[in-house]
Amino acid sequence: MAKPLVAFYWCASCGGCEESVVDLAEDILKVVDAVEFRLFPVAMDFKYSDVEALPDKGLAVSFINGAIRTEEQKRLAELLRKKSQLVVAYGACAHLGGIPGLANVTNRKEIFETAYKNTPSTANPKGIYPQTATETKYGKLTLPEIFDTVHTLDQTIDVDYYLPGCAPPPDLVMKAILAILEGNLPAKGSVLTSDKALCETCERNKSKPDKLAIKDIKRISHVIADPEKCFLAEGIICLGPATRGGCGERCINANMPCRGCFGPTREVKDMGARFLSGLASIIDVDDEAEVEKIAQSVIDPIGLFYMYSLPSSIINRKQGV
Amino acid sequence: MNNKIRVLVCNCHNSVKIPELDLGADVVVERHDNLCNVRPQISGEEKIVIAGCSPNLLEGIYLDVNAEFVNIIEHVAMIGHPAEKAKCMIIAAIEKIKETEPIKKKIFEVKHKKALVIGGGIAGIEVAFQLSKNGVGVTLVEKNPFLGGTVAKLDRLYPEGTPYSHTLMPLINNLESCKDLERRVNTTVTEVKGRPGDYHIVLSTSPRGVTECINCGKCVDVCPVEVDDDGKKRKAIYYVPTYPDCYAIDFETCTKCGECVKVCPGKIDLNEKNKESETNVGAIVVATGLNWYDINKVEEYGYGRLEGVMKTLEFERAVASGTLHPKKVAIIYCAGSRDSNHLPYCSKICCLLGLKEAKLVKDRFPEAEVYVIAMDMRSYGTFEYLYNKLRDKGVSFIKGKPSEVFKRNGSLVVRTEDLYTNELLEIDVDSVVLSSGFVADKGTFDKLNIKLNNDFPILFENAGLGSHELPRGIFTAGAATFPSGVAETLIDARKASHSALNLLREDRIETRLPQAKIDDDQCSLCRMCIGTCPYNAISIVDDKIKINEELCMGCGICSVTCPSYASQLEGWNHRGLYQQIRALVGQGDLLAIMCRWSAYNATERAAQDKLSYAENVKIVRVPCTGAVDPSHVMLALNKGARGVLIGGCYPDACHYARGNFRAKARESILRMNLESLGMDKNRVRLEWIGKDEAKKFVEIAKEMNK
Repeated sequence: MAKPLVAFYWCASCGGCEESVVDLAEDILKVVDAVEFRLFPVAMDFKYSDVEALPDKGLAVSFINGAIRTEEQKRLAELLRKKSQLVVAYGACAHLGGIPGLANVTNRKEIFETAYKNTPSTANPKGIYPQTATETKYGKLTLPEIFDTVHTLDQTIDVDYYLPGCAPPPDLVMKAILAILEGNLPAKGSVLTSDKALCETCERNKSKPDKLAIKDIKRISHVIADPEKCFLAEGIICLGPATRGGCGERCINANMPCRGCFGPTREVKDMGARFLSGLASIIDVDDEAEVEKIAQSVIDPIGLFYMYSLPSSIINRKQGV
Repeated sequence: MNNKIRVLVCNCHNSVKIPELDLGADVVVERHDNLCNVRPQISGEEKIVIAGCSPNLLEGIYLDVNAEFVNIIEHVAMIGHPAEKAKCMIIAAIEKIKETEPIKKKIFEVKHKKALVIGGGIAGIEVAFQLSKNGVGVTLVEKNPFLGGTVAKLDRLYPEGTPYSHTLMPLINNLESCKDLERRVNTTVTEVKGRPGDYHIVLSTSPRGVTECINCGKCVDVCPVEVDDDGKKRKAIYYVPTYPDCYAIDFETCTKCGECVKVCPGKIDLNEKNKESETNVGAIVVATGLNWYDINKVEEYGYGRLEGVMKTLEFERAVASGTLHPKKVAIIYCAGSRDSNHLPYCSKICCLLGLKEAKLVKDRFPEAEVYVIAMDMRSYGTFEYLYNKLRDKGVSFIKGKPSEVFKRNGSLVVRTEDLYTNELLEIDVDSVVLSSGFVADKGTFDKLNIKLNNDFPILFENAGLGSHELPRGIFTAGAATFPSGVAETLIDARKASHSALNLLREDRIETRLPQAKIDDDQCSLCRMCIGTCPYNAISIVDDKIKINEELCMGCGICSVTCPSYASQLEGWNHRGLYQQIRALVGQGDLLAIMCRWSAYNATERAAQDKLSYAENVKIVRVPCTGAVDPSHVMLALNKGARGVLIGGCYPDACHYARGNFRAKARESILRMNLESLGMDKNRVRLEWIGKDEAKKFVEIAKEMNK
């Protein structure tokens, strides 16, 4: 029997999701035995034309990581959708927009100005910025167009499943691959991890007092966190209560609070708004001005509450630019 | 089952013209003339949208109906807005009700027609009597060996100076005729579990040491331990002539020397043990009385350090028992009261206690000099007569707050300003009386899981349930509610008994308060909700978050707190509100999310006051600003709203104690978020709008529309 054909593609991402495949360690051999790759830019030499040559739905599954911020990524995502039976948004960037999604607090123009002109190490007296097409004596050179707004994968194409995380942990990856191979998949649109928030499995949750009440908000960089205690109970912002579990608490075990890479739970559309609502609610002060003061002590609220999810939120980019 | 949604449109006697509504195949539109008077046939299962006048009026008539109310009278017709707006509001309500869990009727059985009364002072005694007289079984517990509470320690009562026994003894004697009344002295409550109608109580009775007493008093003669009991001397074995008619041993001071056992063999047991017992009751009345503020904390007045500095009660007892003959007395008012370092509030009765002590001295020793030093004299009501009488008798009143009491040449000196004469005074006296304030009995309230608001229990005014309601099966009486004098205490005790009777005479309690529900499949046990409940209704039972249905008042604060939406309030779940706002808000609209207790009423008031506002103002009613979801605010902005106004009760007036503070914190962070996203943060405003402040509402709407 022919092996199922698979694509593993990257969009606006860091390469960490590709690393996560390598992190499968010896399990990767089982995967390679079971499937045949048709596109895997980081590891194998296939061309886009190889994919274009396939019949529609010729790929069993495409794993697409990274957010969508260029015309090329959008085009490839659309191509892979057409050629695949299943599309899995792989990792936080494809799922929610991820770190590249934070570019939505600005726009293409400002990013170009910063990256190609204003950084101290850049000398660009003529003010030349990347062009989508440039005529040279060797012919026309092209670059994909960069969008003003970063999008998630499911804002671009129809997505069947989501593998969350920055990057997805090997056990979830392996479980998802096995589920696909065995045809043992949950309802379309599912996020392939726990349905409950991280607190459910977090060891520190046991140390949490029943009534959370904080009188100030601390930054993790300003305190030495007690490795046994719940961060939130200590006034350190941890997105655990608003973030799906299943990650294995890798950050928590390194004494770092959760930053939300697994995204929100099922009912929640806007993770940041939901978390800020919860956080604000446990501020235990009975004075209007004091409440406001504590609330205002949150530094960089977008970076904190939407570190991984800005493009998927209700107001998903900076307005008026 | 019929899944169609019925829309009942009230034409209000043909005064409103709502055009034809074509709302699709699942919606049936009916026209009515006066829904407030003629109620159409409605089954409990149906989903109904009622488009008529104020939900505050109609809600009462359609209490048992799964209905969503749209106010097309005050919010459209009366202010001349176009009928299209009404249509939009009706569509939004349909969208909401499609996704909304109906509010279910809840029935609680009143299992035990019995009451527990905590505290055997005059309030507790009177409550026990009133309840018992009305056929309710009562367990009256008193932690001390004798009934009577603070009153039994007094010499006299203000204003006239009547002996305490004139009031107390008839009350105690009343109890003799009561059936099914258990008086338990030496007893405290150690555990309370359950809900209104069905409480399980564990009581602990400490040893009394004496049985079958004939009141001969021989034990007192031989007891070598002398105790100062609030200014009056007594022995470690003692008697207070109230109830029961039996001596008692004060085991805190008793040295167990055994002298008393020798004169009264077989009746005195120095080695008795604590006994635990259990009982079940349907209601609890807290009548724990006055709790003095720890005057040791007011160090500048030298209590405990300087001889001759006393509390009011000690002074009264010492003078009355003849052990003290003061010649020059200073009575310092507000000792530790209305003071940001101590008690910020006024305890109301200490001014009168101070006047009473001044009168006591003047009655007994007319030649004595009495100085009353007070920031303000708050002899409210007819107590002003007492104040005037004492002025006439020559008591000197000084306006000021003494800075210090110290010893000089063997006598006490009070250093104070006098704001009447603008002088600094140093007054030599032999006795200093500190009139201090009172604190709530936090220990008992903690045990009962009752939160304090501004230092005293929250008085929950729920429709028709009376102001003595704490979580609906626990009532407070007398000074446990707030410091009060004897007359007020007795009135309060009767009111509290009435409230308890209202509960206990029912076999079942039915409520249609919306209820927060937890979806266990979503709950991660993060516990963020628990502390936000104003009624302590949320707890962890068997590793699950559980909402005590009887305590939940339906504010929705926990639902908006939950980062997973695992908690959802019936009638107001997030999906429903999301759909409502999605359908309601269009480009350029101004969304007003209004608390049903205050700001929403102001929006209706605007129409009644003929104050109009722009057509783009769309109003959504919520139970509390604490139930406003930041995501919904963002949704409205994303839909093109020019602004979102959240209107609620003034800071200390929140119907659910602290919902508006939660809203304040959420709004504050949300505004920062929006600013980071390049938006004008003033597009979202949280404003305190009282229920009659139509003008304020209209002005804010106008401002936000600019």
